[in-house]
Amino acid sequence: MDKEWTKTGGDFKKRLKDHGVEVLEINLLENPELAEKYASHIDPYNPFSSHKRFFLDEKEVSQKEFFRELLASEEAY
Amino acid sequence: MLVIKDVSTENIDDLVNLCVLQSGTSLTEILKEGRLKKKVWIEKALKIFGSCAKIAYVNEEPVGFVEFYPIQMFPVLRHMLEDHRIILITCVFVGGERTKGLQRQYQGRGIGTKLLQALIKDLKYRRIPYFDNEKTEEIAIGSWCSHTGFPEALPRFRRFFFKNGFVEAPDFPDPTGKGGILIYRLA
Repeated sequence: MDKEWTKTGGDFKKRLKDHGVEVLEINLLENPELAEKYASHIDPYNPFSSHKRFFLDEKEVSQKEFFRELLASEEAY
Repeated sequence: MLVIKDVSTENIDDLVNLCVLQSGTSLTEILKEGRLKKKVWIEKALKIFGSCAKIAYVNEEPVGFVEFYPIQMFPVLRHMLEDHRIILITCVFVGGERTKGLQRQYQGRGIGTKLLQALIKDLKYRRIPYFDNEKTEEIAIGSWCSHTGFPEALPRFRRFFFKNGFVEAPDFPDPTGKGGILIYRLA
């Protein structure tokens, strides 16, 4: 799943939800102050530009760590 | 016959149909959500800004659009350019309703140029609430090569906008440093 993350065209959000992940989306055009606070590198000239953050138990982690933990929890089952 | 209309509450679905693929693929659910979000976004923009897109119709069939917003609606840029009266184009598309796939027969017929010229003409006279009811000074667009990663589109992109009076703006604020911003000066 980690390798597929940046690909477009798949219902990746649904797959994450199926794994028990809470997905919160924020429209950065509607909430510019959040974009400026958390994602100042966002490209205002690119309508597809987005920014992703990953949390485990309210602690922000890297994308790599997030998927490693997700995989580990799946294997535990 | 080609007719250009402003997007309004009456024809939002035409814009959504041009912009977002519809169901009938394996992505039905995500596309449904995307279409709904786009519609809500346009409804909000209409209330805040007024008409934010022009739609081209050929024999009453929607075939293309240009979408645009005041620069103050964009993160980061709104601070860099808060005293400027600039409209940023987010998309120009010609190719028919996405329910029917990409209809290339509408491309290369000057429809994009007609859309752009209609926008320029409109903004020459339109007073924008975001600009304290003043008129627009400049129209800007970020290159789809530099900013959206479609390098193959660059020659056509530049040819199209240069033909319509846009010029390079190397000093135009660009927090990404990617460059490629083109502008049209109205004032």
